[in-house]
Amino acid sequence: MAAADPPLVARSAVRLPGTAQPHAVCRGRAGVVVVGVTDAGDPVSWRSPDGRRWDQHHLPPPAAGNAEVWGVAAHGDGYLAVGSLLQQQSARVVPDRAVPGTPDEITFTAVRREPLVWWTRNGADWTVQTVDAGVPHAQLIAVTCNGTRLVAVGSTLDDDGVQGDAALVLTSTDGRRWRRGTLSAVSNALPEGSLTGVAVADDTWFATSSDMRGGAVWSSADGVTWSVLPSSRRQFAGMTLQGIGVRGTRVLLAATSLADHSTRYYASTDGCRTWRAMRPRIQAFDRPGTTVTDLTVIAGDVVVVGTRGAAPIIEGGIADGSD
Amino acid sequence: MAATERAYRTIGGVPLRYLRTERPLTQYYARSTAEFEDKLDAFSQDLAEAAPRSYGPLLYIATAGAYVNKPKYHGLGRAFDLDLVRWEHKRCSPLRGDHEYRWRATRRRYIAVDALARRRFKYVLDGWYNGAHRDHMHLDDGGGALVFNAGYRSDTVFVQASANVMINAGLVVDGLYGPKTRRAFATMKDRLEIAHRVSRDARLYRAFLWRLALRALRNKGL
Repeated sequence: MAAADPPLVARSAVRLPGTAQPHAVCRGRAGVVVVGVTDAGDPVSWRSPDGRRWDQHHLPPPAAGNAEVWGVAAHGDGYLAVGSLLQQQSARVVPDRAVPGTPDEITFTAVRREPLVWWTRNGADWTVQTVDAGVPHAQLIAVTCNGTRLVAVGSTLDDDGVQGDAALVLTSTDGRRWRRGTLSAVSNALPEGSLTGVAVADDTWFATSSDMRGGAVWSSADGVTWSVLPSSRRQFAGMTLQGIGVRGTRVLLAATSLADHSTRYYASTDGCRTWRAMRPRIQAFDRPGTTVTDLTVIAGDVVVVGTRGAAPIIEGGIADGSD
Repeated sequence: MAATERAYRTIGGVPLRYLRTERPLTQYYARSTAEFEDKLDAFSQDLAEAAPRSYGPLLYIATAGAYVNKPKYHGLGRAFDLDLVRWEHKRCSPLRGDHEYRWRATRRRYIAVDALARRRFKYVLDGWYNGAHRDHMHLDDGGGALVFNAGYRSDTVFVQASANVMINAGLVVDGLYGPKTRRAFATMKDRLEIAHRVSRDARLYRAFLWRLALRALRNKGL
């Protein structure tokens, strides 16, 4: 895109319809698509042909249970979204009326959490299927595609299905059939965490993770075999990483400090070996009460999504501040 | 409801701290939903009320984070990682691994804090649950009603550890709710004069947890 071209996603912040929390954003042939989850926990998507006018759509669950959507990527002529489906057993109990608020009358046991993928041609009508990851509890959080290979990342979960405990990578060429990637055995544990983002730059794939200790960056030459970059654990100690994008030779990250919740941005120009802080000119998320949930690069511009209060926001046309 | 609709630096009037930086933060702002903050307030009040006078007042509570941008309940603003509870003269430090500390009184204090957390949060993941929680206690309000659920590893390891620390049951803490665990749990309920229907009646389970915490905080077995 020439420098004088207008950005695909509006330079000023745009409020998306409704009050759902956006989780991820990508651009495909039908325009820009954002996926997220409503207050009631229902997965939704927003679609825009021009980054200004948005319409909202629902992603169907495959069966009874609680479906979540976390990531989305362009794939071929359409889009592919990833998430998980939680199936629970419930039993009625005698509630304690002394508990403030409305006491729960049901106790739940997580039976299984399965990865989900949805796909769509037009960004509005979604088809869903479950993916067998070979473990009782697993979730997918982010996905990307290099034109031929899809790589989805997430985590397996602990015994009760409460929290992520180890990294999970699934790969596919058609979005229907998936196989497990390979993770370095010494580094795949992610206590209270998950892989959280994935991007591809030329022939190298990069992923982010977040856990109790902080963030880390992972790399892979083929999208199938992954290992963590040890120096990134030091760099991102005490932070969560929730968005990764590629702009030319530069890899960009959005992070949140665990100590003060401030959003921070980083760039690497040497294949994620070293990072430096950047100060992108972002208007909507540069204030208290805002949360950045994803960062990507669309048509050469940084695009971020998140919330301001309860309002879902997208802001694009952002120079990364390191030019 | 926004996951971060509330930002606060005290819970139940007790200051929050963050110890996981080189220079501990003596003023920490947590963020969560309003409903979750209310539950934290109640937990904090329980910690103050249940402790014997010799502990002194509750000075601060250290957290490893409430709201963070990651999947599951932290990302919903409905989870809290507990690192330390500090009364004036006593402390309970999940951060230090107090669940396996060499002094029984310290382990009992950990059981007490664990029990009080379970009166407000269904999912409490403690040092016995898995390796990820050896240095903190995770509290969240997923999972539904506040009853004992033998289908949860997190509930079962708590009962097994409590039985070991409070009645010397000698159980393997493996999260499997077998006959030995059932018998030990029954013994504890009997000694605390609690009817056995704690899986179906939230009032009974919360009463069990309260009485257990009172004994444990005073370093008294059952």
